Parts: sequence; C-alpha cells; structure tokens
Amino acid sequence: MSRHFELLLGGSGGQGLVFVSSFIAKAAMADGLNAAQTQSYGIAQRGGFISAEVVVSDQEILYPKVTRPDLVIALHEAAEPHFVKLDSKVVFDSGLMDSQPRPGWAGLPFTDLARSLNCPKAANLIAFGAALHFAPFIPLEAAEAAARESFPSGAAEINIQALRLGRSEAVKKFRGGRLR
Amino acid sequence: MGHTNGLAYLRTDILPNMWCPGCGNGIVLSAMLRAFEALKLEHHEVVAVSGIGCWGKVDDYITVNALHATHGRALSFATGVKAANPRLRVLVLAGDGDGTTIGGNHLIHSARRNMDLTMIMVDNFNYGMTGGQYSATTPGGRVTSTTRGGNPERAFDVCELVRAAGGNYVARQSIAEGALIQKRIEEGLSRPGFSFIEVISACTTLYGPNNGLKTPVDMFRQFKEKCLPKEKYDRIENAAAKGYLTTGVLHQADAPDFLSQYEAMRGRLAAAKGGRA
Amino acid sequence: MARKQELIQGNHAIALGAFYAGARFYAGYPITPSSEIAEVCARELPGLGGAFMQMEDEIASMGAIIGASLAGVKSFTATSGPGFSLMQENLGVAIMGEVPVVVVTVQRSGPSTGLATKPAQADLMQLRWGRHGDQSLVALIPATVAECFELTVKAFNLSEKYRAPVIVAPDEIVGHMRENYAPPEPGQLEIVDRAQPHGLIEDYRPFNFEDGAVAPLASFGSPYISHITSSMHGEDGYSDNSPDNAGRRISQLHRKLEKNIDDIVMTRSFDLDGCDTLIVAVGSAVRAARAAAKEARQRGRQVGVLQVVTMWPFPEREVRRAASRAETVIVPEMNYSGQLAGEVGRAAPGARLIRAPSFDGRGLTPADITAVL
Repeated sequence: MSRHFELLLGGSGGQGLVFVSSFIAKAAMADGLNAAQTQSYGIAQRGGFISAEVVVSDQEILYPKVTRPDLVIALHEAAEPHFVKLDSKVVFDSGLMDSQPRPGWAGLPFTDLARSLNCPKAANLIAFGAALHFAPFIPLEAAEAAARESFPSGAAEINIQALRLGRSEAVKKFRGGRLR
Repeated sequence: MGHTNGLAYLRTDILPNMWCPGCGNGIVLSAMLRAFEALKLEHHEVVAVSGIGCWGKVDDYITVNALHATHGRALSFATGVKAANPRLRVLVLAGDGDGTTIGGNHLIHSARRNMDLTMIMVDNFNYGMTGGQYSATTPGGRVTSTTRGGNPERAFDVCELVRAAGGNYVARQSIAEGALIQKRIEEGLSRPGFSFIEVISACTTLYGPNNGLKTPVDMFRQFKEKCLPKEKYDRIENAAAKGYLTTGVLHQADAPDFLSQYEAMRGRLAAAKGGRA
Repeated sequence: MARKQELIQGNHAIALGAFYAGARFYAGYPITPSSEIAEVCARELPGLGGAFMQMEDEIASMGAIIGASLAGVKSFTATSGPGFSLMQENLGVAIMGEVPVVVVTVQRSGPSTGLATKPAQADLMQLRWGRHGDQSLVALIPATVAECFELTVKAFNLSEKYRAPVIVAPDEIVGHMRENYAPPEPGQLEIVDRAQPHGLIEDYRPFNFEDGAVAPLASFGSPYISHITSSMHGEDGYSDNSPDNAGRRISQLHRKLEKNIDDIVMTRSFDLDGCDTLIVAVGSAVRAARAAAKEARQRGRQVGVLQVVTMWPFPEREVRRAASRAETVIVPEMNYSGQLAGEVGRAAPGARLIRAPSFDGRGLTPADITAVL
C-alpha cells in the first residue's frame, strides 16, 4: 500500500512554522519518502496568520499542497478560525489557545512544555513529537536522525528531547487516541 | 615619445562628428584621448560606458572598448564591468540630463559606494539632443524650450552633491581650459574610488542662443569670466548668485573603494568559514 | 551512486543552478518573493570567487549584470513583477547588444504592489512583450524544485549559445516550495560557454547579421576590442542607421532564435497517448493539473497534461499537435485574462477550449480543474 500523508500547520509569524514544516519534510526524507513543503504568509515578519503544509509520499508528489489534511497542528489562536471547519484531527497548543472542547481536537501546552526544557522556541518540535503519537506516519527515529543531520550536536540533542517530550506527553494524556 | 594628441584612440573614418559647430564635446573628447595617451593606456584595458545624449554619442568616435547604454544608467553598467574585471579602467561619459537628472540616483549611490570609476560629465545646462529642455543643472530663471518664462526650479551643484555622497575625487573645469580638463581626467583615472569631473560646456545651438549668448565665442567669453579657481571665486561677493562657478580640484579623499572593501569582506567570510570547520 | 537527496527551496535551487552553470556575478534589489535568491548569492558567491552586489534599484541591477557579462563573467539577477517592470528598458539593451544574461522573475499577484506574498501567473505577457521595440526573448517556467535548478542551467546555456537574455519565471508557489532533490554532480549536466573570437584582432566584429548567425563575444579586457551599443549599429558595433543595415539587424535578432527553435522550445508530456481531454498548463498549475488528471484517469477518463516549459517562444507546434488529438483542451492558469489560453487558442484555432482561471492569490487546486473536467 502506498504511503501518502498530508500535514497542515497554522500559527502566528515568528513561531517557526517554516522551520518546523521543513524539518518534518526532512524527517520524512530520512525515512526514504518524497516530501514537499509550502507555506502561505502575509507581509509581516512577526504576527499574523501563517500556514505551512507538508506532503510526504512514497510516490512522486504531483500536487505539492495539502488537499485533505490527515493531521493539523495549530500553534496559535490566529489559526483557530482557519481550522474549525476542517474534518481532521487537530493537535493544538492548549497553553496559547483557549479553545473550547471540540471533537477531534487534542490540546497540549507545547509552549509551556518548551519552557520546561529552557528552550521556548522548541514548542513547534514538541508539537511535531505529539503529532507522531496521533499519526505515526514516520517513526520517531527518522525524525531524530533528521535532527542529528540538520543541527549541530548541542542543538540536535535539545531538539530530540523536544520531539520525545512531545510524544511522551501525548501518550500520557491521550493513550490510545491515535488516528485511525 | 612625442605626443600625437591621442589620435591612436580616435576613430577617424567616421568623421565628421555629429556635434554642432562650436559644441564643447570635441574639446572634452580631445582632452580625454590625450589623457589616455599621457597615461599610456592600452586600448583593450579601457572601457568607456556612455549614456544617451549628445555627449553620450562619443562612443562612436573612440577605438577603446565601449558600451553605449540607456539614458541615465551608464553608471550601473559601468559598475558591473568594473566589479567583474577590476583590472579594467572604466570611464562613464554622460551629460547633465543623463548623468544627474534621470541618472541622479545612480550618481549618488556610485559615489557612496566609492566605485572605482571615472565619470566625465559634460554639463551644457540643458537637453541638447531632444531640443533644449531644462535639466537639473539649468540655473533658476534661465530660458529653455520647456521654461520659456524662465526656469522656476533651482540647479544642482553636482560637484557638491558627489562630494557629499562620498566620491574620492571631484573637479570642475570649463571647455575654455582644455589642458586642465586633460589633467583632471588623468588625475581622476589615477585615483582609486569614484572620480567625478564636471566640464562646463557650451550648447551653442540651444541653451546659448536661448539665453542671449548668440555665438560660440560669446559662450567661451562667459566661461572665461564666470568659471574661476577657488581663490578668485572666494573674493567675489555672492558669487554663486551672480552665476560664478568654482573650478579646479574641489575635493580629494583616499577612502577605500568598493572593491577593496568587498575583498576585505570576502576575507572575513573565508576566515569565519575556516574557523568553523 | 545516486546523490544525496536534500530538501531545497525552489529559489535556492535557482541560485545553485546558476552557480552550477558558472554564474559568478549577481546584482539585484530585494523583493518578495525572490529575495532568497539574493541571500544565497550574497552568502555563496564570495567563496566561489564571484561577487554579489545589492544595487540601488532594479534598473541598476539589470545594467550591472549586462556590464559584468560583457566583462566575461556569467551574470544574473532575480526579482518579481514590479522589479521586472523596472528592468524592461535595460533588458532591451541585452537584446539589442546581444548580451548573455539570465533574469529570474518570481511571479506574484498584482497589479502594482498587489498581494506581494501571493502567487500568480499574470506576467506571462509581460515576459514576452514588456519591452518596447521589435524584439523577442526566451522565457522558461519551472514547475518543480528540480526544474528550478535544471532550467536555470538551461537558461544560462541558451543565453550563452544565442547571446540573448533568458528569463526564468517560476510562480511564487514554485519559488518558495521545498522539495527533496539531489543536485547533479559537476559534469553531469552540459554547460555552454559563449563562443570566443580566434581570428586577427583587427578583423573582430562583435556582431554578425547573417541569417540566424551568432557572433563570438569578446570580453572587455581581452585583446579584442568590443563595441556594444543599444543604438542601431553595424556589425562593428558603431552607429549605422541605414535602412539596409537596420533591416538586417532586426531580422537577425529574431532569426537566431527562430532558426534554433527546436533547441529552445521545451515541453513535457504526461499521458498524452490516447487522451481525449488535454490540459495545457505552466508552472505550479502543472502540479494541480497532473493531480486532477490522475484522479480523472482513476475514474476512467482519458486525460493528459502538456506542460509548457518554454513559455517564449511559445511551443505552438507542440500545442497544436497535442490539441489536434483531443476533444477538449483545458487551460488552468493563475490569471483572469487568459494569457496562456490565448496562446493555446492561437496555436490550436480549432480546439474546444475550456478555461480554469484562478486569480485570488490562492493558487490553483486540483479541485479547480476537476470542476471543469
């Protein structure tokens, strides 16, 4: 069976959406998949709604943007109005988003967790780690390998910690809550 | 070796030139070619980049490398030539409309960058080729084909502008001083960084007659009277208001030029890369 | 062994393709969505022995790359529609003076400042007709990150071979997207350098107006003296305004491209055999078209896609041939005015054309195309 996965990310300018979506693409490549990453943003360097999309596949990727997201990551309340209509599982930052309980929405305080690592910028990687619990479209080990390849050793270690923390927190809170 | 008036750099089979009788361009051309000879420049190491206008047509009369570009933009073409081959001697030949009016932005940035170019701006106070319209150097009150009631705008002091923007060498002479023009061009070509030589010239068909100077001789006489070295100029009260211009070398500096600064940056980048590996 | 796959952005791949082709001079002015190309050049060219210059505007950028190319260094710039507008006059100098340069323009939504960060394909006609005068140029449009790299190499090759400016015009989606790609090894792709003169110095002429000819181009600083001018000129580069000369000059500018049309025009075909519905697309729309076509074929429809790679000169023959076998020709494109559809209609006058336009800054989706299939 062919592997094809579409991930949609939303947040606010400055949260590293382009960074984390590119990293997710690299993690998929580390697992031998093709990857396409795109983004959509406004004119501000900071703030405003930003979305990023990752499509990974073991086939040639024809259309590089997301048509039916298999999973959504929301990092900021700016993303909420864009995602409420989607019929997808949504993983969101419950520390930054005062979201009412919705079916299919799973919140974890990514930013607070990142502060506990003394690395607030790692919230996006924690979210990715959590996403791998809900939708293990690649093994965590592939993401860790991508981290080792993409970053200098010190940064790689903290980023790997972030990935693992995200997944373990998701397992703790949403055991059995995997997609499909 | 006796001098030959720079004839080796002149294309003779295309003569006579297109310029009007009495036009100052011939004097500037001759001074430039004599400067090439005095500096013993080889044809292939010289690139003359010209813009569009009467003086911009000078590329047709020279036998060194030439690039005849667009109106106002000669400096940007010249910048690319010099950056790609720093060994070349690159001249920029433009008039006042070309070099400072439409091309003013490139002029200030070339001076700021201190690009190693030598610009010879022939200033005849109007657009000759298009019929004598006013330019950024037409003094206030003067009559041109688009200021029949007298120019309501003021003129640039282009030399002052280039000095303020950071050029290394600024000089002004009039066409009544051919030998000095040659000297200034030699000095400009010899000094690294941006060199700017303004030559006050006569448009004997349009600007002169429009402003009461009926013949080339009248214009020459006026340049001799009004274009003065600094020490004489300073003795005249309200000289600028009376239409006097200072001549001679107006500014000299030894600030590093763009390419030497770029090489320093290249070294810093290489060192940073080496340090990390 | 296959080279290692990297995640590379389209704009980044364009810069890498330019370096691979031998480009060592870049001059430009910052503009979204092309600025990443400048940033890569500023970072990498010093180490490659080249130079990056940030100029005061796009007019100066275009002038500088022409000057640098004439000094013998392969040169390029990158911009977007508003900056490309400013480059038009000096682009004319490169056409008239037969100066090899590559201009990248990453298409964004307009008119004017428009939606500065959003994609469009509304500059297709600007590419072709942006300049005044009776002229022609080559424009290539990539649809993938791999094509960003490889078409940039091709653009330099064509520009060197035919002494003509060549445009590379991805839309914002292609310029900004990242895909896995393994850049080729040195030597893997052909690299063309402009022909150099070999004869006597006094015999050298920088131009040759024989039908379809391309003269060797001496670099400033070589022993050969070169006169290059934007004004009407003879083969020696000096003014010659006679009608005989002007006629030969203008026709040679066109003929050198016309005579080599097979070398210049590129298309890609996807499932054209036996298709009754043809989709003709360019840039990122090709991606949406291929996805829609695949879905339609799974539903039993016979749908093929023709990708226009060389936008200009337009692949009239290829479009006509493909359209002649189809009942319906669908043209999805990211503009209101039907710039691509107009050319398809001109190439295939009998075709039943259905347009699928998108011009809200959102880009084309497979669903937009499925809706008219």
